[in-house]
Amino acid sequence: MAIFCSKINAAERGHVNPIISAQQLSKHYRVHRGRPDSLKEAVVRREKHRTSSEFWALKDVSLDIKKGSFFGLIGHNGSGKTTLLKLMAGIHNPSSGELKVNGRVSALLELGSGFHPELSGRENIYLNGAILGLTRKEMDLAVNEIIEFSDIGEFIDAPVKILSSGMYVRLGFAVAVHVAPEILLIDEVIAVGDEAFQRKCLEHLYELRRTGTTIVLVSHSLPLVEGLCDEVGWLDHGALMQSGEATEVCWAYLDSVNAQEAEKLRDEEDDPVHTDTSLTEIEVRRGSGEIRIFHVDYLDGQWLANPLPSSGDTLVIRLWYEAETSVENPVFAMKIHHATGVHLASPNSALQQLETGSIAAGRGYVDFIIDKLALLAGDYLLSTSITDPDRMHVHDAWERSHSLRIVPGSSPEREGLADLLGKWQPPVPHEKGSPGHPNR
Amino acid sequence: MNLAAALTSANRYAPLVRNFAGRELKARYKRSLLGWTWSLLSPMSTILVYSLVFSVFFRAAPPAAGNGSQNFAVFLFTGLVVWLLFAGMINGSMGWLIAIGDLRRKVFFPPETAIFGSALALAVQSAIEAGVLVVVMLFIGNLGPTTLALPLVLVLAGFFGLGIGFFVCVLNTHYRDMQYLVGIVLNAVFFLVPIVYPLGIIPERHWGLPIRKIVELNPINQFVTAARESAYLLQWPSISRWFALLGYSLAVFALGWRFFARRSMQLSEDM
Repeated sequence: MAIFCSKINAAERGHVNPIISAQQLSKHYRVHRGRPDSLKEAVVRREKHRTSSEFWALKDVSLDIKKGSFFGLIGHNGSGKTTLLKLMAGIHNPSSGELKVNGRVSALLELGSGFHPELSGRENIYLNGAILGLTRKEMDLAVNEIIEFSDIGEFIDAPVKILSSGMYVRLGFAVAVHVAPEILLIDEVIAVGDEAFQRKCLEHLYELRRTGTTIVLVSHSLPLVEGLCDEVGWLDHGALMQSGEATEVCWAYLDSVNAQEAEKLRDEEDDPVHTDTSLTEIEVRRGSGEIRIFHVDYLDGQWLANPLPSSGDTLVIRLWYEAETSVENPVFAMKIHHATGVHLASPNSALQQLETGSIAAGRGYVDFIIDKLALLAGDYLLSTSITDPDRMHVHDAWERSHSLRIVPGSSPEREGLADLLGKWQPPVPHEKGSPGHPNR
Repeated sequence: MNLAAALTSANRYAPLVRNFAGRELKARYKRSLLGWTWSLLSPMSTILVYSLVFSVFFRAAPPAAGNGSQNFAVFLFTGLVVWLLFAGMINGSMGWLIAIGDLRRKVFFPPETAIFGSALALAVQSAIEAGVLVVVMLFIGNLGPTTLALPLVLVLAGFFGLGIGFFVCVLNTHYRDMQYLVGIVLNAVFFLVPIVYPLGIIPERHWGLPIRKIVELNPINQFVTAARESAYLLQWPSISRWFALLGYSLAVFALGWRFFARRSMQLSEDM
């Protein structure tokens, strides 16, 4: 059986040629301390021991990215994600190992990457096209689409240095996706820009993918990565921890992050450190830990992952729990705060007399279904908790642990925080009515 | 890199080189009233001042031109066209490489495309100066078939300067002293080479050294002299001089390019 399986896998692998293939890829940077910046220093300090240490940004990374796939790269800050993208983009050379990239690469590494500040948007579009090896004719065709997509209007002929940061990002994204790349590398840029543009970007990425573009995305937003990507690579201190099916790798990564956090919490209990953070940045976790929430997913009415729920539509908040021992009839609760700190709602399962029964050790989830999301577009924070039935003992309470970004949807309301779901009625003429005494 | 690969990549990046050149030309006199006129006014003022100082104050007499007249300003102009191209390549290369640093950190393209692009823009500027020179020569009736050799001398001088430019721009990314050093050296060489004065005013021997011979054999003087011979004296430069020009420019360009190409990938990490 095992032999049979491995045969199939080999055959499958033979079918799909990787468009990017890395073999034992390593990259080290020399970190110069006291490196001479001038000739004089270089001469004067020659005999002294020069302190330069090596920093390995990537160590022995081997991975294949299939043609036409959507590949995510996750990992904490400084784990080597951006370095890997830079190697793929050809900006830096690997120190050792082999990297094959078979296709025209367009990279969006930093905001407005590849823009010359003194040139106008239009000139920059042509410059970028020329860098990517497109002919002037091809660019003439693309330029109108880019202007339309970026929606910056007459500013296209102004030097890009005067553009607002939003315009800059939009133009950068528009150029990167419209130069007909075979491989698109994106580093944490979708998180910038307003909601409408974000949605437009996501839609466009889907569109590109349908036409066969391979996309590599670096992001810290796990729901986004999990929702968008087919496969994910998880980097930690330059080493590839795991690579494969998106959900699986994201879970493994989350487990490790949670384990690290729990360890940190245990350490901090002995020596509590009070850090002064603003309200929205508080992230406190307490509880005895027999059962914990380890992940929150957002789904839409079709039970599909939807990292950006829309106002007025169905939202399912799925709380994934992991129990260490069996727990009797726990109460699941949430708190929703607006990003400004306003406390908006506190749904909990006990108020609805939900009998959760006996939960055995292991993983599972609880869904909270909102038929019509009454919150308007904006950024919200979600706190989760699990307590015993009397709400005296806290198993797990995680304050403002998850962000919830709501985008405009079918709700026509735009201002304020909530759609009250009320209905206006036609005016009724009534000369003799008695205001203040409606029933008289 | 073999020749076929070099040609393919040259073809692939030709539009980019043109784009960089166009950008350089367009951006140069943005927001100035006189615009491109400045590119002619500045050499003209140099010619005026030096003509006044050297021909009037110091009474340096230029050799007779091809048509027998003696015109210090035109004599100076001919040498200056070559010098401005040569020095512009060396001085410019450092700025060109630094200017693309930010771009190069974000998107891949060979850094030499920017240098070739800017060099092309400088060549265009030099061609305009040479054009003005030819018009002036036409005006004073000092044109001949040998004038046709001037563009070739300029091209060779350009490659000679660019070769040195490739060296200094790489060194400048490591040590910013380079730009100051280059400024001083170029300033010294400008006066050590007979551009603003005729070779004849240098004494043949001094401190027991044949200093006129030393200055005369200096590579930069070879280019300046070749330009003077063809456009001012209206003589064909000798075959040996042509070989010297060709040898200097090809050797220096090839060495500079080799030096640059070996380090170009490392540059984006150092810039």
